[in-house]
Amino acid sequence: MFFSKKKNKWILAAVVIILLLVIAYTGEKRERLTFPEEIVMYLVAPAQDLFTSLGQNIQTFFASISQYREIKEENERLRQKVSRVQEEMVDMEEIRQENRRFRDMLDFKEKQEMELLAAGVVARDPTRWFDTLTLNRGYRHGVEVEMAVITHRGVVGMVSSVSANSSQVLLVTNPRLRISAMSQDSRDPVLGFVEGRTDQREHLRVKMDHMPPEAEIKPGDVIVTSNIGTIFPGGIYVGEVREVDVDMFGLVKYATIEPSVNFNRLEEVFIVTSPVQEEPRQEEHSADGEDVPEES
Amino acid sequence: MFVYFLLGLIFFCGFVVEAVFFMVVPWNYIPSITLILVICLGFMFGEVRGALIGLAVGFVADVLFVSPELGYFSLSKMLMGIGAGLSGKEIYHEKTIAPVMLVFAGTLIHEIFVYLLLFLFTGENILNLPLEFAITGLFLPRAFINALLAIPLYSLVWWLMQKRGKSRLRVL
Repeated sequence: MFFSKKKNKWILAAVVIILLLVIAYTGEKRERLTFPEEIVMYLVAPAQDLFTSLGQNIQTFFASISQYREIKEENERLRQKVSRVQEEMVDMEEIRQENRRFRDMLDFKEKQEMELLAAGVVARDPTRWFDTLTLNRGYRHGVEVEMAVITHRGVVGMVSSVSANSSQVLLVTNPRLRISAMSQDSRDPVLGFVEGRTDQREHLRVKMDHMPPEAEIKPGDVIVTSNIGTIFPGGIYVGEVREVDVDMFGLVKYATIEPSVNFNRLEEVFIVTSPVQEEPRQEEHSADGEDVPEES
Repeated sequence: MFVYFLLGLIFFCGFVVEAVFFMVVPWNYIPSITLILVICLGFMFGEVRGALIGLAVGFVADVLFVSPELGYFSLSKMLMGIGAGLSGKEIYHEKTIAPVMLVFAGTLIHEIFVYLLLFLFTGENILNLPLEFAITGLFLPRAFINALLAIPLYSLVWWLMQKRGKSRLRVL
């Protein structure tokens, strides 16, 4: 109806012509846009940016949906891989620590003149009543009762019973075992007996007593086995003095010693299989009065 | 006012869809919601409003998608608005089939018109396809998709206009 009038047809024709001119003008290749065009471009640039970024976001969204299954499977694969890698890392750490222990033990063994038999700890008395370890070496491997058990860190204990393929070790923290020891740091070595402590608070510490009141011993001194026993070779590290005190009558001095070995984390030990050179021997007894072949 | 806001929103969504659809779907048959709306509104409101709506929507499309070159969509959509408005004089508006067929034909004509316009003014075949292959391979599928989309869109616009009471029914 509107365009049926002649005047309106002219209006329409004019608009069409203007648009064609705009197309022709703006479609030409030009070095620079005109000022009005630049303003228009400047004004519409944010809107174009908006549409472009919106499009990219939506594309990413749909791509994520279409790849959901693939991503899920990949996620599962990666989770399993991470789990495997973590297990491998734990294994590697275990091997690394084991390797370090073996290296230390090998170094230690090579430096020793005595014969050492390596053994693994297969059980530890968890009750702490007996303070014993079970090793995976028995009389088939040449292990005998009263052999010394040591590590590169120091004294562990003494073999108390042997079966074909295993043996039981009485730990140095057990009060039934007494070891002849001496201080290493003083010019005049102080001799004494090292034995386990009966009080629970000091359970993992040992006591060195039977020292004269004038003995020169102080916290920080290093205690090693003495040469005057038949079980433990001399010079094996026992621990470090933490406290020194005198008994209630003032007749005997005693020291609390921190053992150098962590008995809760023992995994490999050495059994001293070679006979220890016999030297003048002191009487050594277990606390219950039985004869305990004891080092001194 | 609310109806016009909704219409504006639908147009905005149409622009968004046209801007992003080709990024999302792997095929070339992208629907043109703005063209559907121009044809539907022109069909309802007549040739003058159809022309103005087409001109405005085409100008926005020019600015957003093809600037600094302007005028292609302004001219083509304005003519589609006029065509739809003139067709609307002769047809019942309540029936959806008429605008759907109009959208099908309008899309086909619009695409061919833009193809020729571009060829005329740039001297290049932008699509790199002969016209007959462009029609069968691109324009017809697009017209078909637009016609399908016209069913819900025309119903929505018709419902909005009924709501507003502004629909200009020209039942002959």
